[in-house]
Amino acid sequence: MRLLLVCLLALVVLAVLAPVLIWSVADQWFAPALWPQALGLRGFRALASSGVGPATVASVAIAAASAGLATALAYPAGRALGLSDFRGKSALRVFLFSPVLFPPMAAALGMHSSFIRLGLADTSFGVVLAHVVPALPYAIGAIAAAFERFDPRYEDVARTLGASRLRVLGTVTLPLVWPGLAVGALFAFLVSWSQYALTLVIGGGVVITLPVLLFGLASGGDLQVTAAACVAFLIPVLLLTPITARALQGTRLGGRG
Amino acid sequence: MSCRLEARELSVVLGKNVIVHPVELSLEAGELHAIVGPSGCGKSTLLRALAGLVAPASGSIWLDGLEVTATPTDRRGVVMVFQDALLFPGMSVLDNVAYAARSTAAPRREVDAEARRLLGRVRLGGLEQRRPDQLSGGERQRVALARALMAKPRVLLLDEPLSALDAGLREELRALIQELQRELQLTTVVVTHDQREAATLGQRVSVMQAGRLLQTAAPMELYRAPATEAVARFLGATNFLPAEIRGGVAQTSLGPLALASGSADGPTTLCIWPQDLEPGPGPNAVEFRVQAVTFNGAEQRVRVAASGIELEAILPRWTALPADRTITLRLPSERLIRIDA
Repeated sequence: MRLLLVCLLALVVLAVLAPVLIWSVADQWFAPALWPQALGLRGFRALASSGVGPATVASVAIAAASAGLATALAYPAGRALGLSDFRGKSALRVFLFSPVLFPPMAAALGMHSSFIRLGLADTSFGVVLAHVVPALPYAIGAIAAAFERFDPRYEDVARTLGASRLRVLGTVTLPLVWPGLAVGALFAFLVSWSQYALTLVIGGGVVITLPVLLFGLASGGDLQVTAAACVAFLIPVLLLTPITARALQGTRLGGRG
Repeated sequence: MSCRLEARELSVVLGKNVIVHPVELSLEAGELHAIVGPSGCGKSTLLRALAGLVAPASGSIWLDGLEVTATPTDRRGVVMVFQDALLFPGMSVLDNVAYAARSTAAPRREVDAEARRLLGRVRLGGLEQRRPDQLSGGERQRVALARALMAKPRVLLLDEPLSALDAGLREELRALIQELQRELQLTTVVVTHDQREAATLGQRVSVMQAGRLLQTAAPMELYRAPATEAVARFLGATNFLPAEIRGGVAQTSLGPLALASGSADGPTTLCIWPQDLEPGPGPNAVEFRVQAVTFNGAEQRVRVAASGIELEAILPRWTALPADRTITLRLPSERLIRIDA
């Protein structure tokens, strides 16, 4: 049953990805042929000369920075949401998720005018800050879920045994909740990785990430280069997910604990 | 290592609820003190306040005459063991026990040796490399105890340390706790909801109800002279008898009952433990009707009634009950507890 499900899932993913993969290496492919007449790397070569290298570096750096910042900011909020029960908790939850509910463009335009005044517009740091906004809800959600299963009395025990707050965090709390932090950081990374509108508005076309480059290429009309860019865009995601899944195996979030 | 502990006017308020009303608690160095009360009476919160895990709303805490009310938990030396051992899941048994000394300057080898020694002391030698989830409940609790001892506590707090265990294991761990406490002369507060456990463990026992300490006394004294009806009821007393004392004699619905000398005149309530009713005629003897008898192997519990008063008596197991279902029981005057409050 489980195997069947996995196969079905793989099939769906492949069905979506296959045309992109084929297009990226199709040097010649005219209708009504079902298979490209000529395979080749023209698309990737064109991509390489269109600045995909620096864009990838920028994307990775911005996504990593956003993930780090979002996780750090989400930690206290996630902890409070996961550990304590208080009146208005569900309302607060909805409020914290509002960046997901509101159209990103509206937020982007508002942020842009503030960022211009703060001198953050057209800078990578500004883009990182902007990306943190939509990434936060996911990070908070993952961390809150980890803290819901965390017994804070572990911290009490460690404190009475003479451990400082910092030592308790390092030796007791983080070892127990890090899977939640990892998932939160991964979500934040992926949210930042696929931002387009925010990057374009706040980065002002100066900060070029992969999605920005990708949209540019897509509007250029060369399907093969666009497909190649899509593949480049997918690689980190495909790499990151299994690595995280492996790291989570045996932990409670990995479902095998 | 052992330390005098005092709490003065200590109260705890969480949100709008007063969890602990101002209490006075005083332990001699090396004393094993039990606090007993129903669940939700605030006894665990009182322990948390002593450990510094919750800030008191008022009052102060003193260790050996020095105030520690504002001293942070990690520098107070008041170590707590919880009902569920709460061993750190990612660490081996040895690392759990050694936790308190890992951050100190002591060389790792010495710390490990001390942790091994303590594990031997709680009879878990050889399990050093196990993970907490590979231990039984009793073993986990003993590791938690060893881990606490590693911190060289000035005061040890045990929050229902036996409640999660089966009867046999409970007895074993209770004996171990008493043994270690005596040997190390550890000032210890143990919290429990079980009256018997409190009496067995504590050199002195405090009865706690609804956030207040009702009475503190040695176990025998507590049972001999409960201060209030609430204390008596909590300890399991069921036999209460309204009375009017005149000239050292109690006038009750059962007739006049002689009291131990020195009873002042006035209205009061008399209480007698079911175990203290004696079969047979004599002074203070009353004829009862037998309502119900249960035999549990160790004793006979008999419900008796006379003049609208119902009492419970626990009689020796081979006591022969008369066929006509009437029985004469004596209420020995030295066993009649006068409760004015």
